Amino acid sequence: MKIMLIDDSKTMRNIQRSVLAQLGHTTIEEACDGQDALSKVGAFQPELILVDWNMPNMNGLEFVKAFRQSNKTTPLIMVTTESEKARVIEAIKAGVNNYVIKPFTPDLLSQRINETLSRLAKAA
Amino acid sequence: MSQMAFDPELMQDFLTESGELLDQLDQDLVTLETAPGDLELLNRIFRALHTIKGSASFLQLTNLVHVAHAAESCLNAARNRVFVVCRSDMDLLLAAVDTIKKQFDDIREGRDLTRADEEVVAKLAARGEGGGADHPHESAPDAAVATAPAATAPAATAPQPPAPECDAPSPSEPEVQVSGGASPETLGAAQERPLVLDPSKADLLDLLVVDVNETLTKLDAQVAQLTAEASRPGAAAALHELADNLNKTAEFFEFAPMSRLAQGLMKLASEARSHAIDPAVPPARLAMALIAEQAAGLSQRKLIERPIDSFLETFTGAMTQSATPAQSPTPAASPSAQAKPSTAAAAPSPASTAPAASPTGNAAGDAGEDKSREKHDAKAAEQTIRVEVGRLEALLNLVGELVLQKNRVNAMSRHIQAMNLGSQEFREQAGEVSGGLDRVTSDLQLAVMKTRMQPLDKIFGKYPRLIRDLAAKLGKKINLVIEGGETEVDKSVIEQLGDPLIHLMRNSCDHGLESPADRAAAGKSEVGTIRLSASNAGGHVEIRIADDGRGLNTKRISQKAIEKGLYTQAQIDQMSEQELCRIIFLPGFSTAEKISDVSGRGVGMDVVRSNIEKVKGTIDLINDPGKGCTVLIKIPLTVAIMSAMMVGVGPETYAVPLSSIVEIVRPEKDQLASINQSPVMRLRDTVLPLLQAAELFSLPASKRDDAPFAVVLSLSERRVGLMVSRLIGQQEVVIKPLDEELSRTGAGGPVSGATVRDDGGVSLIVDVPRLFELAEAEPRR
Repeated sequence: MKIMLIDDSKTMRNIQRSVLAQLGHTTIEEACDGQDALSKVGAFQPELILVDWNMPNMNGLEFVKAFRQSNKTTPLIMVTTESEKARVIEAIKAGVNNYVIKPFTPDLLSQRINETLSRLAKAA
Repeated sequence: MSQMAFDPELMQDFLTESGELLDQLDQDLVTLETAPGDLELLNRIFRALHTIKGSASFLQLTNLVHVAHAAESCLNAARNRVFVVCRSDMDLLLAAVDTIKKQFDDIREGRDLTRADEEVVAKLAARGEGGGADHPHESAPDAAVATAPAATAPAATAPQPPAPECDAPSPSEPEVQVSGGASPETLGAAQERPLVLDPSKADLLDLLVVDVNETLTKLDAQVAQLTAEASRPGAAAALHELADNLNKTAEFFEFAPMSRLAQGLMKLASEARSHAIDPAVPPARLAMALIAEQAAGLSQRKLIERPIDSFLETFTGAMTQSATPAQSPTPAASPSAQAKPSTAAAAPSPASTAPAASPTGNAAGDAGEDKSREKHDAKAAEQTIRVEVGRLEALLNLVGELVLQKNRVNAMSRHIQAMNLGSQEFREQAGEVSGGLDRVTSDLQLAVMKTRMQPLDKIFGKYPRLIRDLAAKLGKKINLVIEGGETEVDKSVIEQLGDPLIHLMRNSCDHGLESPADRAAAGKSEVGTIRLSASNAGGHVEIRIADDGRGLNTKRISQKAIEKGLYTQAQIDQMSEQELCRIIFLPGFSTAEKISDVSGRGVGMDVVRSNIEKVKGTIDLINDPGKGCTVLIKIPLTVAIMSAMMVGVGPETYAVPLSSIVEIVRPEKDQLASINQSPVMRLRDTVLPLLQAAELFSLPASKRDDAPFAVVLSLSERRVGLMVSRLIGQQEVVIKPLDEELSRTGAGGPVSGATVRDDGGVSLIVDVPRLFELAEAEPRR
């Protein structure tokens, strides 16, 4: 599965990449903020997007809103922190399909990915 | 978490990336102190801490997360305008950053992480909670509204404020009253089931209920607008979007009945747009009443379902036939109710594509300005890659080797020309090849050097914080001016410069600048200024640290020097002011009356000097008693390769750094003389000491020959002549460090390294500062 990671921290991207690798996902594109991601989604055509909330230039929520204008289907998982949880509903309304709170284990991420995909499959 | 095994590279990445963020944090925090209202800055600081914390939590650095979290929540409250950052907040935040820095060191050293000062953490956390203040800005939903089970009055009575605010609480009535009087009971009996949710969703449930109720209030207002012809298109669009949001939320929680109702409302909204029908209102009201009922159930962890299938069917077909005329208690065109939600949606974009500008999204949307400008910067930042220093080091070494080989090729080519070897054509080609190699190699050398260049800001950036803390500690008022921080020097030089500069800045604060009272008495402004500036000057960089303090007291320096037995009174009497100032650079000299914890750390100016000289730099003072003192440091752009004049001494060849050479003369007999048995040379109107290179390098007498050339060397303002036998020519030399033992004992004379010559032989490189030491020590012995 082609997965796009959007996070302004290289460390975080590497961590998520390694978690995804443990789950067997290796086709991964990275973006450092919402703007960067918007410019890359066209070429990469991700099948799942993990997006951080707090980023410079274009934050995760803004990205989701912009992305959902043209793409209603690609599953989006918001990567948030405990302190941002209060705003998750806002992200869901904007079109996020699921969320996962940092730090997460490979198990939890895997669970969230499966959950998201199966829910979308059910809906379709 | 423990089953996660991370690559050590991840930890390294973390240290590098977060280390940079930390450095920036220090600067930003100090800037913030002067501009506490700068939201952009606050956001940047917050993001930096947030990023550090996020990564640290993955790497299970709990002690670090602990303190970062506290600092972050304090900052979050500040950026939400709960309070304006004050001095005591700054102290707390800086303390937190210091702790994190210590913890970084711990990680690097492989120690257990330092525990944060619990008092600081507690205070930060308390600030984060805003000391009881509420969150008027973006965290409104979780802070204020979440506590009240959000029962809201119908839109008619409540003109909508721009942001979702704490509404008037209606006592323990967990239901939204939807105007219009539609009753869910008409559909049939309600079924209640206990709600089962996985923990991640259960966590959000209360937030969801608040949100649904908010959405219902907004829906209510929009539905009311459907009845008026003029406002209908806008209201329908807004209705569609609100219902769409509701649908997404319900889908996420897998509340199918709620989701179906929301979809029904979406359909209704679409129809209302195209068909211009008022009768849409009663079914809409019923749907909303049903949703409200479900939300109320959810807040009690119950799923409430009624048979809604047939009701939902009416949504598509029933609009056109429903007879009941619109009845609404709402005055149709209440401007306050209409203004906000519909402006976004009334725009030409069709409602079905859910315009991005959600009426509720004001909090998140405001960060989106200036995107195009910042985008550019971000792109530029992404155009860089991190390279291990070791690889650059290796690259530079290889370039060094290449320079040596090039030198040899050049020498061979010269030899070919001189000896008229081979055909004319061959000689021309050899000359061309050698010239081309020369050019390419210098370009390559420059390019590689550039990869190692870093702006001085990397170290300068740390000083505002340092000065701030020092000023507070010393009770002085200090204004630090930094200029030319963008000047670049080699990485290895930057590393060596950090400590000496800190020492010099401390000195300026501690000894240089007077207390505010003393300054006022001296007729100066109470605020002392330290000006740290850097600029490029040919092959080297000049750094100046200038303060407008009291300047050096040469009398006291002289006394101390005599007390410490460094000089005799007679020697002192012969010295110029400038020479007296330079005494402070001698080992074991410190004028501080008592050891202060600011600048008396057991390292004197001699350590500063030797550190600067380690990077082939020079240091000097410009003293202006009563008005201030300037320390002038000159450092080469790079330490690995330099231009040198090759000189012959007996059978040996030495390399003299070209940057130290003022001129080379062949003195006439009458220019030579001796003072106190020390040879000197008259050069125009000055007299300078002469040193015999053969003596200096302890060549055996048998190998000494006539030394007719005087290489005039300079170090700051000082001059000395080095007598050599032959002048060979200029060469790029690659400095190879000498064995540490050899360079420490100085057994080989004043040499700083060795290099390979263009003829393949090895030459020692003259250590100019050491040579000056010897020259100046000599006559006073």
